[in-house]
Amino acid sequence: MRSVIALVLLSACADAPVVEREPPPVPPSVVEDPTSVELIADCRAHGEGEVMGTSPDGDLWFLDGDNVRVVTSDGVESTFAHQVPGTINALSPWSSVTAIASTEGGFWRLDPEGPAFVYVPEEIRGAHVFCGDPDRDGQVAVANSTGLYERQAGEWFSVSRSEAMRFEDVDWVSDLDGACRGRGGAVWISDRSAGERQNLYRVDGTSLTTYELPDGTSGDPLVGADFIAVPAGERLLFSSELGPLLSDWSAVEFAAGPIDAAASAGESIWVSVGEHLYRYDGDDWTEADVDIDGEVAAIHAHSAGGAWVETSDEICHVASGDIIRVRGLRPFEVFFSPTSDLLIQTPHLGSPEISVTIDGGEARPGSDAEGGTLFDDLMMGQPGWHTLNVRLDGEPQRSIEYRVVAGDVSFNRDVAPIATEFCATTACHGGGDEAESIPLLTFEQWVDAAFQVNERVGRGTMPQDAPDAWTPSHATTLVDWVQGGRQP
Amino acid sequence: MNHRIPLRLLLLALCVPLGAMSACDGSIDELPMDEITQPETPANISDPVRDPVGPADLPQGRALRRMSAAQFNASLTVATGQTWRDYETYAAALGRADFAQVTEEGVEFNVTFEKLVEDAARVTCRAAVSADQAEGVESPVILRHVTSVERDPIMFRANLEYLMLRFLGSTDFAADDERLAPWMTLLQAPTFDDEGTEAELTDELMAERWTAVCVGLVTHPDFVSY
Repeated sequence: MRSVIALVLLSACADAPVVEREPPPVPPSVVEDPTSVELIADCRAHGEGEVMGTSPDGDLWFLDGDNVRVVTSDGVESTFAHQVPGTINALSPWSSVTAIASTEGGFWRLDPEGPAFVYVPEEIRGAHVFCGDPDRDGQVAVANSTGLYERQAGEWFSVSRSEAMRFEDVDWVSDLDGACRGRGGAVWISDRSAGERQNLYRVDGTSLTTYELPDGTSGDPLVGADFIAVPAGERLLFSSELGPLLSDWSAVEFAAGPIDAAASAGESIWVSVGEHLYRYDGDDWTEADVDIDGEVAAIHAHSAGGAWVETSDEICHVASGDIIRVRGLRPFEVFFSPTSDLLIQTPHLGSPEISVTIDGGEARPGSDAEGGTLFDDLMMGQPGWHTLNVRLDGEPQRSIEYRVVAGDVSFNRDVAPIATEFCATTACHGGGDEAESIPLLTFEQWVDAAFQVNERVGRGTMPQDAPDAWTPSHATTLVDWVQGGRQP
Repeated sequence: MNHRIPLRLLLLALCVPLGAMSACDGSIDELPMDEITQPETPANISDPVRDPVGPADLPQGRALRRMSAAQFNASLTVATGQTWRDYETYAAALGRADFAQVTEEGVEFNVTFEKLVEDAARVTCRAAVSADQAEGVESPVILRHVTSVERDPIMFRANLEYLMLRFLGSTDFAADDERLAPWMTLLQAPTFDDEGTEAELTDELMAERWTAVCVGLVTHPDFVSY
């Protein structure tokens, strides 16, 4: 409750949140026999088990009782006993060998060495949907029958509409290739009642926005780096503005009929309508020229540029070519280290020249390593968002967005001077009698308010009426201190 | 709220007069905005309520502690119904503070503690079983549901469950509970004479076995630590 009070008190000093971003183009509104694109469909028997998801590199995970079966995008299949006690309710694959699994007893990290228990408080266990990494602050959202939970600043919080209205019917949480949040900084959730999807919610640190969905909306929403879309009959309700004051929705109509299945990853949206398989690539809709037998039950898209199309009898990997695997970097991952080792694999592409650019700047060349090209100690950039592009023979092939957070920020060295100059003034956080907000004078007080500092400063609503001397680097320092572990 | 039919009519109406206009010739066209059923945008903007649930990291567990000398002696007396006569002799070795040279209770696990606990267990358990075998005992402590003449495994189990509860606080045993299995093996193990032939289980031997069960429970980590 202490944090809630703090949040309310901080609100007294906050302006309305404004995030200036360039909205991506709105997709055309009626899709009827668009340009056909020849794609490769690699089909195989569906086999036993239920599809649980796909990794960013396109590794499809099945759950079959006590066993897990993984089919990689290049067709390599493996089966192993997951060894997790209890029944797995949800699973988020990270690669062909690692995943996060949720059971009634809690979260487990699956890797080749066996399952490792991931501690969360008991109230948060038994998740039926989740996104992100339960081991990382600000990078996870969990929904179970008791509500919605997120982890911030070393603590788990329940998130509710009000004291009496918890999110108990949430059956979908935004999943951006395994991550919860993109550049927009919000988690999207949706609830369902009596088979009908009810509302769409956008949750960020300072606001909860509710969108009442029209009748007939039943499919899971789709979320990408720059859009949110909701299947409704033969339409896809689409918005390319992810801010809390989202106002303009457009509708994409599929002339061929109602949507059977839809999925999104990266900038792509895949939609199955009858015998047609459509793809939106951020600019335009195209129709995939592939032969898939049977009615499409589900699509599992991945950020490596392809998708798995699931029918009752088959699973087909559909892509324009071979998949480029990037080991050591997941989409929308948050890095606390300035460097990382990246292994880039192109299993069936011979020996192309592989290069990497970060925000357009060429990284130093990689070296041949077992299984691919290794970019050792790659400089990931200054704190903030970055875009890494993988190029084959000079042509951009895959793009991954990520964020760097400075992990070595010290309170005494870096935060305290900022606090003294901008925050601990008598009128605001100075702790005097006339102060209307919480005091921020000591390390302990800053740790207690870390979550609010992260959200308010990160969104630019603090300090209120920022003086000219306040610069974005001050905000970055404070946010990095919170997200880097709140070191003294 | 579903506008599928009106939209179809609209598109058909467009097709007839416009012929090969883009809405009908296989391209992509604008959808009339008044035909779009929009989500309520937004229905509501509010402050989310966030309540702390708990720390993200696993709370540090405390180190295992053993009983102090006085706690062990008192527990032993209550559990076996017998007094360990040598307690005062060995109390200091068990860690009791004398408040002259030693002012803090010793609660470290060490070889001396282990040895003395076993000595105490042997003495008191033997005395407890002997006391239970005496005539006219109304409420036996160790042999509560059996006597030394009992050979029925069902009764062995019943008495073991009672002893596990009495000494260790253990309850809710499954049919094949691993906590009982070693003790059942001990009680039911065959015995052999000097020539290697299986011999009859004597009452004296059964009394020894129940004594061994008692010693095992007193020296069990769940008894001496918390």
